[in-house]
Amino acid sequence: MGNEHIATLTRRSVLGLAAAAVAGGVVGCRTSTTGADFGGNDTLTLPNHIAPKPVEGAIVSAMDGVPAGLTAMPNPLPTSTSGPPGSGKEFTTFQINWGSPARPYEQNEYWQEFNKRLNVDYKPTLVPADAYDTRLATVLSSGQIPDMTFLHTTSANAQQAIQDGAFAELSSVLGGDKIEQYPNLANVPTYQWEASAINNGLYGIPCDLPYVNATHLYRRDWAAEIGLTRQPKDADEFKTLMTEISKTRGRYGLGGFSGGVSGFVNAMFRVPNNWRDEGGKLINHIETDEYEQALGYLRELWQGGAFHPDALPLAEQGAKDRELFESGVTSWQVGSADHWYMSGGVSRLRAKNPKADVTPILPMGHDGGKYTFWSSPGFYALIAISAQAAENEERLGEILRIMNYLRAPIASEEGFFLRYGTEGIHFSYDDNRYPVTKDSPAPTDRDAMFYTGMVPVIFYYPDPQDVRDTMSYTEEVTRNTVKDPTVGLFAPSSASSAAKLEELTQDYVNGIVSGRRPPGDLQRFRDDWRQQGGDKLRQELMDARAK
Amino acid sequence: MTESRIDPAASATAPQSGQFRPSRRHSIWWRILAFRWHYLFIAPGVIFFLVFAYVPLLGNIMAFQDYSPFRGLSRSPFVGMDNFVGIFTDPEVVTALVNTVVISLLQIVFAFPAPIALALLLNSLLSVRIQRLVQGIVYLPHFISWVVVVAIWQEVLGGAGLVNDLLAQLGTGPVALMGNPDTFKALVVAQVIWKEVGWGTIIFFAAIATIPTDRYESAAIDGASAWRRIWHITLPAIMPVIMLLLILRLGAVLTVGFEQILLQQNAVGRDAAQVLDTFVYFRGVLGGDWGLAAAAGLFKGVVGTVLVVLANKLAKHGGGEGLF
Amino acid sequence: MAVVRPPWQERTPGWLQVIKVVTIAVILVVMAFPFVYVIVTSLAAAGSTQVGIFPTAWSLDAYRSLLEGGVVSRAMLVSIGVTVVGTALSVFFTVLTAYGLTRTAEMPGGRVILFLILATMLFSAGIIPNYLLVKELRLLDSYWSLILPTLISAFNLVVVRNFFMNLPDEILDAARVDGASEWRLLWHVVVPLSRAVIAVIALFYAVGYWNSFFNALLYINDTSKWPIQLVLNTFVLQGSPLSQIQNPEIQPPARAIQMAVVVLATLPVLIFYPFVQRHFTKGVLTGAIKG
Repeated sequence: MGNEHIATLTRRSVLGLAAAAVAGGVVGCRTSTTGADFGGNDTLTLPNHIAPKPVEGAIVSAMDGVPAGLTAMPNPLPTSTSGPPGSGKEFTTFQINWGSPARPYEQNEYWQEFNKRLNVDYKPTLVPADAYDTRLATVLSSGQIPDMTFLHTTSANAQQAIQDGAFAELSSVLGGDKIEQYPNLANVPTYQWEASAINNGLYGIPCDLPYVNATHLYRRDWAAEIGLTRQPKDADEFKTLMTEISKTRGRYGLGGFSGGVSGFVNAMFRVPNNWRDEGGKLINHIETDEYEQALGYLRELWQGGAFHPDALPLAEQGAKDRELFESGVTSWQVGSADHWYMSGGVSRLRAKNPKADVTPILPMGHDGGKYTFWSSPGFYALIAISAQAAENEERLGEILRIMNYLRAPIASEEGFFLRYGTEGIHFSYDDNRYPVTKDSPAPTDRDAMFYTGMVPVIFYYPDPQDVRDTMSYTEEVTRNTVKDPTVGLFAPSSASSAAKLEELTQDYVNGIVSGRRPPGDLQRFRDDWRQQGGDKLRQELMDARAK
Repeated sequence: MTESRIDPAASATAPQSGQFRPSRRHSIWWRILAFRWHYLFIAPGVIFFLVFAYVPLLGNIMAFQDYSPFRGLSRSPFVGMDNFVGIFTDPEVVTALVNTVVISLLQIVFAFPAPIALALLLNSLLSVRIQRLVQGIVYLPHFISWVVVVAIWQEVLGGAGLVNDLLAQLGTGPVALMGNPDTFKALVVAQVIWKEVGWGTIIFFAAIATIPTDRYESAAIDGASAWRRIWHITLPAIMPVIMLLLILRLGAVLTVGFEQILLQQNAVGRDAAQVLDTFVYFRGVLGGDWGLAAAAGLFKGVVGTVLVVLANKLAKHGGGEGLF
Repeated sequence: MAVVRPPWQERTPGWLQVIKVVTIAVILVVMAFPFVYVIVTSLAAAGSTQVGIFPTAWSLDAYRSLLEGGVVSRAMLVSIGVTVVGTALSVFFTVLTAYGLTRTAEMPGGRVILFLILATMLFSAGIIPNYLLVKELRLLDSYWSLILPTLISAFNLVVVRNFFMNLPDEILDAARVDGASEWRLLWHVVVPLSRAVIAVIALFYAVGYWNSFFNALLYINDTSKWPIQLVLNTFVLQGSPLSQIQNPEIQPPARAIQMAVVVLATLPVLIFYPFVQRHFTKGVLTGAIKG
């Protein structure tokens, strides 16, 4: 389900996954000089929640924010909708294409089948992730907003568009039991509606994101070579492990200084998730002592040679950074479980080095105690409906029915098609009845078009043991997560300051950790951050909370 | 060559552009008629520039607006000079401007003359076949996009690259050739020279190719050495092109390789690598502040225009042709 | 190889010759390296690792998997079409406009027009206004959106004009005296004398059309109309694997695929270049001007 790519959009973010999550919480709009008041309600009637129907072979976690695992696809697949949702009309979308370009309709079996099954004339705008902001702005400027738009809520352009009223507020059609006519949409957990609501308004269907969307792996065989046969239990052991590994020629403890590394170390030092409430006052994580310690520790890792010499450029070259791990150069890497077990990250590593022993590694408390991992807000983006299209009630109903189809669970007739395509064309079953991608051009079409952002996340890998291990790893880390207290709060200035503050943060953090700046620059960083929008953000969030 | 050498027009009674060179002495209507062919020739071009350059330039109105793409020009509020004030009060702008100008000047001093030198060097080779072969190889890097170029440089000169690998085998410590903020500007210029020097020779080759060989012959008869021939024949002959390119380059003084620098900024930090275009990208495109981006574009345009006009004056003053 | 030395060129001293040869050899090695690197990397087989710049196992799988998809070969065709049509139109209109502007000093309004054209190099309109223009002209998703917005480059125009203005006046005046119309003069006297610069701007335009991807990214929604460079860009920038659910045993390394796209995207230029190059490497005007 493409959740392996979720970190890529905020590729310039030091905080990586965490930052994507955080900014999602403080969705806002810049203060408009017109003072236009976009939608919003005094109170919000949240849509009801209906748990997905249990399916055979599924492992369902009792915890919020942990996706279900699937050890075998049910056979036959249950259906989750009744009849094609569309009326044969055009259905336009703006969505991200993580893959290579799709083939034209005439050759594109996925597209043809999609139109047939949904009874629509599907017209997607497939945007490469890198061009997201540019393309979103041009589409917005054209005034012709597609029926369904993938809105990355951290994007200033998306936030501005929501404020400008480009997208429909949906609580009147989805609030309370009204959502129950769209059973797959009703599967959206309540916490996601809460977290993604803006100013008490629902501006789209939340795109599913686990609280913890990361599996950290390390080379246990290399650790054993230097005499550490169990997982490191505190910060010192982890540092020793990483720096010792780097002493072997051609090996490095850590690759790029990415958001994943920061997230791991933040967890070790129990840095608060974005903000901490101290007696009614919000304190940003960068203002805390824990953060100072974490930063100092990263600096020590750097000085000790734990990082790859090109760690800074590698932080922005995610694919290459992962390749270094997969080709046996670096000893530690973070990625989504999908990346490791579905897209072949681990098998690529084993193909190159059959003796490699890669094992998930849990963050450890720096002092040997607890760690606290930053929870995501539980949603990644909003899938919004054009306000113009929604003016027509009948059309709005049709679009919602289509979206209901698109949010079908993977273990259903509909969801399975959306994710895997058609047997014999896009995939074939292996001996264990796992759908393996065919070595032909057709799957490229599927990969280019399937990511509407609607498909809910699930752990489903060729080896059922990987599924079980991922489940327990994710549950373990989720149990130790800390929440961002500002998720769901609305800060109007975040749209104009978020990108600026992120850039500022990255520059200071890179500088301090790599030794380009003295450790004392942390104070300058904090001052700059406060002046350039941090204090304003704090005030707005506190005001929003007081309401 | 704007002045007329022969001007039989004085005696002409009707404008016939085929037979004489109209000059400013004639009435304006007479001259318009005389140049009717020229007007006809430029008509499609003028229409093109009107439609595809000037119509979109109207969009720069957004520099004076709090522009939002969805609202568009008509519904976005006007904010006067706020966007310009926003640019010049931003603490980062000074850094960005200084970096931009320094990198630009370094490029004008080092990267601009490089293709001229290479073209002269190649031209001094006797064998045309070798000339062509060498030229065919040196222009190759132009075709590799910056993403790939940066990746290759990293592979060779990066902290774990081939060069440092070799140094490590020789027992010396790693040299930060790519991630060093102090040498970043030199690195940027070196990359530009490497990527574009071969491609840049093409235009000079074309200029050299138009030099009649008899000039060299008579110089040789007069006993001029190879150096003197370059100095007194080749260089003066390509001077108009050099001046033209230099003036145009000055107009782009606030533009330095956006993609190239953006890709390498993380390694050295903003203090060394923030330039005007990356600043505008972060604030304007990613920050959704399109008004500010447009304001920065207008500022660049005004600075460029002033420089081009000045350089043009200077060139004409120095006896050259200038641009217009 | 036998070199015919023109009588006016005396033998260069030995030491100078050595310096020249060494300099050029160094330049060649440094310049050719990236291409060797790109080609070598594109030939890595599945599961191969890297030693220096060389892969441990070689194969053509990257090319095979690219070409069989049809995406890359179709994108190549699109690029070739756009480049050929675009270059022809661009060169025609650039030459026409440039010649029309050679007499700006005497032509009423000439200098103003020239200045306004130059100004388009200094001021840019930005992404959104350009997009809206293309949309209003109903060119979205049309191949024309890849040609018309960049039909004439002010830079190339000025370069051509500069060359035209440096042509010896005697020749033009002689033709005028013979009663040639300006149209005839342009195509039968000026253009043949300017083969070098026309070859150069044709090359500039062709490479410009060939390399451009940003306009396609903005204006072309239908990915089957994407030019090769945009496809390349998604491969290289996004590190897109061909298929997300990969089979690592058969899939060549992602980097091999990226580099193979670079090779495929550059190949046509390599093939085409020597034909153009002939026109500007040596003495086009020799003979034509004498007398």
